[in-house]
Amino acid sequence: MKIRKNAIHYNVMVLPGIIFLILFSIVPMFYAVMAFQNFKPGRGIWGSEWVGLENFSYLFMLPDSRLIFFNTVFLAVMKIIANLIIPLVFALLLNEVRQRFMRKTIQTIVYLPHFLSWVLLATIFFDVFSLDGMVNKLFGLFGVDPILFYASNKWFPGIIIATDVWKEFGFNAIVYLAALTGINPVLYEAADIDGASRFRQLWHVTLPGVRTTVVLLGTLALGNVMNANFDQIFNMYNPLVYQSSDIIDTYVYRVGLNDLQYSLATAVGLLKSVVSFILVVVSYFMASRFANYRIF
Amino acid sequence: MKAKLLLLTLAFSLVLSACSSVNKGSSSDEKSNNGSAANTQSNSGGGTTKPSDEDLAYEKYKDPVTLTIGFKIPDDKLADGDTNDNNIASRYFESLTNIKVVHSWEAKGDDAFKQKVNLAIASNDLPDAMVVDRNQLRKLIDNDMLEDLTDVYDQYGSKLVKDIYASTKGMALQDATSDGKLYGLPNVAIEADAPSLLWVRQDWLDKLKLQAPKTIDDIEKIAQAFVDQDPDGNNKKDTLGLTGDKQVVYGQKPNPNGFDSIFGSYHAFPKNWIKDANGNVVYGSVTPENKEALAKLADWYKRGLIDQQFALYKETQEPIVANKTGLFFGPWWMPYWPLADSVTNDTKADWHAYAVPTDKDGKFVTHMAPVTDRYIVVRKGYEHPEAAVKMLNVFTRYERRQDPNTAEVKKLDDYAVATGVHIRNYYPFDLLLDYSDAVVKRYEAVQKALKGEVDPATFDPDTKQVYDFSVIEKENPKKNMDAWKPAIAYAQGGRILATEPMDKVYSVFYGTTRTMETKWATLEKLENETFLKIIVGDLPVSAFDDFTAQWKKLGGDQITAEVTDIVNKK
Repeated sequence: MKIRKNAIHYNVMVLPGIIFLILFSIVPMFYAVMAFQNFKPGRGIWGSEWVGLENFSYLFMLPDSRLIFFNTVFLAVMKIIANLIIPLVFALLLNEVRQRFMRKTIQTIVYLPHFLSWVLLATIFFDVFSLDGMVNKLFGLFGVDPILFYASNKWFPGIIIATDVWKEFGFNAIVYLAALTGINPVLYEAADIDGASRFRQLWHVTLPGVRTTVVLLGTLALGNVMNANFDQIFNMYNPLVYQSSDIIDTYVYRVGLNDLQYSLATAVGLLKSVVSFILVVVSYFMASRFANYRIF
Repeated sequence: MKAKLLLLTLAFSLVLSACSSVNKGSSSDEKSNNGSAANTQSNSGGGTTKPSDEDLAYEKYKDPVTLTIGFKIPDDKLADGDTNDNNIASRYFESLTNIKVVHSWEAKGDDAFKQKVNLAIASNDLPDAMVVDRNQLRKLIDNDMLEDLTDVYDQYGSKLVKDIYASTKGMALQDATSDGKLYGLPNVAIEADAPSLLWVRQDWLDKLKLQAPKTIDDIEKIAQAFVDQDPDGNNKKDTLGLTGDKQVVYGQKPNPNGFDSIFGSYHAFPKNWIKDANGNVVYGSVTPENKEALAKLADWYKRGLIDQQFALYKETQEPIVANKTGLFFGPWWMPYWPLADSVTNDTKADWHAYAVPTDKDGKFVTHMAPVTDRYIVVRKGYEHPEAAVKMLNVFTRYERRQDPNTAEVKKLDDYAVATGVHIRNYYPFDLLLDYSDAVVKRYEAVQKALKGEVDPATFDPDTKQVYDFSVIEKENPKKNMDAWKPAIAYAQGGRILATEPMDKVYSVFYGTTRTMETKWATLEKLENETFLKIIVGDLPVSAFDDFTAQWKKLGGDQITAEVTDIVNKK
């Protein structure tokens, strides 16, 4: 009753969000028709010539397209897996630290990189991994020949994944830590009385306790498979490693803005959106099925 | 009722449009009145003679005019309080013209600038005027986004500007003309800008007792020695052989670190449209000669003779400025930049230019560049298109040392010497005009004067300045870097261009065809990436054959046919 009386306030509060959504998410969707045109900015959407599916057929002819789809999915899947497991392991370990002060300090330190921008980190990593950088100096001590990490298609995807995990694992661990504190301590006491070791407790009490969280985060991440993090890759990659790290978003940026091929870029972007849409639906379905997660 | 309403609206709109046309008429009348008033004023002594073009070209606006532009941020460090849009140069040009130049946006570096321009085109949000490249000009004309400058240029262009354009035999203006309308004011590139010379640290050569290079094998030997024998003498293996750029070749006007000359020595001309032995028009990047050049470069890279990290630099001149290298390719003007920085960092550096490598017949083969590659364009609908022309007049007059306001010019010169700031970096547009054979002529004149054969007092101001700087440099080497830059650029680069025989290969086509509009960017991307990957060993040299096949399939054949068509029609 009370809620209904105040409903107008809530609606007003939602309004800016809705306007924002319409302006930046709904309206731009209309421009996706560029993918079916030979778009010329001077003539606008209405004045440009329609070419049907020509952009798409050209897209499939390009050797790049298979590459960027593969790279996008590969990098994103590897990141999702790494970003599920490593923070979980970290959270479990941190949870075993009994000194409160110690725990808080470690937690704070590892989540700080989350707040640094990729522009900054890319420069730092470039120095760290360059020919006379820290990593190569360290390898040199063991007699390994210097490796050009940034120019090697073998090493570069690993660097992308590792640096992404390094930046985010502290932040991602927060959810797990929250889930861990939610586990009823009585269960541990009971397990203790039954003679369970620390490891047994972890196996039979802690892990089942966070299982739903892991499944939920995993399925939600599925909707993001087509996003391999433009920010990071754009700032770190170079022409030598396009082969292993060029993703849809960076490709769209280069083709669209650098080469002025608006229609082709839109076609690529549209294709990505369609696939993403399907994945979001699937992951939402799975989330509601397995983790009982529902928005509505 | 409805019909009445409609009639009423119609009538109303008619009245409105009539009003606006009347307004337009009266305002243009006003303008011409103003103009004649100003003329009679300025000619108050001489009666009613019409003002000459020259007066119009340099006439100062009575009321301030605003001109918004896109600006490329230079490296220079301005004095405190000065900014990119408010500094000694911008204040001077504003005082001459009463044009207030406002920067709509600024971008640092060529790539960023290009992207900003592309973004402006894509969003249909152009500044009043800006400098664009050939592709962007094509796009803008296609999209009908540019003001027609034909009449404005006729009326307001200064004699100096028109003379320089005339020295290209009409080619420059033709380049910016479409359907008989002039859409941009092109730069005029001097011919000398095209050949890519080999720049070598002579002091390193001498120290390692090496001969001056002539052939590919000589370069190989020098690169090997520079890598292995510690030419900078710091007992560390930290020097590089040949440096490169991720672009691999520039194809037209070179910059530091392009491999154009290596390709030229194998008679390959990537990125140029040429005629093959049978007279067919072919694209230079897909001819088999490229394969030999790529094989050689790939071999060098593998053996460490080419800088292993060359593709990773954000700015291609990094190793040159840091004096890590003593061997790179670049055009004649390298001493202005980046070599001046190299010498500032290490005063022992002694750079010499060579027209090498030669081909198997001992000739230096080089592709030539188009006369123009940049254009000032004016947004369609800008009220004062002549403002852009006037700006060009004013800074060209200053650049060519013909500015009559000697006191002001001296102030600018003194400022430049005292601070090391390049005044030309703060012109509103990055667009230089010079006679196309200027460098060679100037070099020869200066040499004669240095030998005492001619009197330098007879020189035009440009040549005189080079002469003066050469004298300063001769008396006190490397003391005054402002003198060093032109003196060495002419003594090394200019000398090679004037004295070394060269096989000059001209491209038969520079424009854009219909299919190019949609497919060229993709093909170019494929080409750039393939070349780069072959050199660094990501792809075997045999991948060049796959590339040519793919290039043809993805639109190359069609484009070649179109280009052939155009060339044959000429």
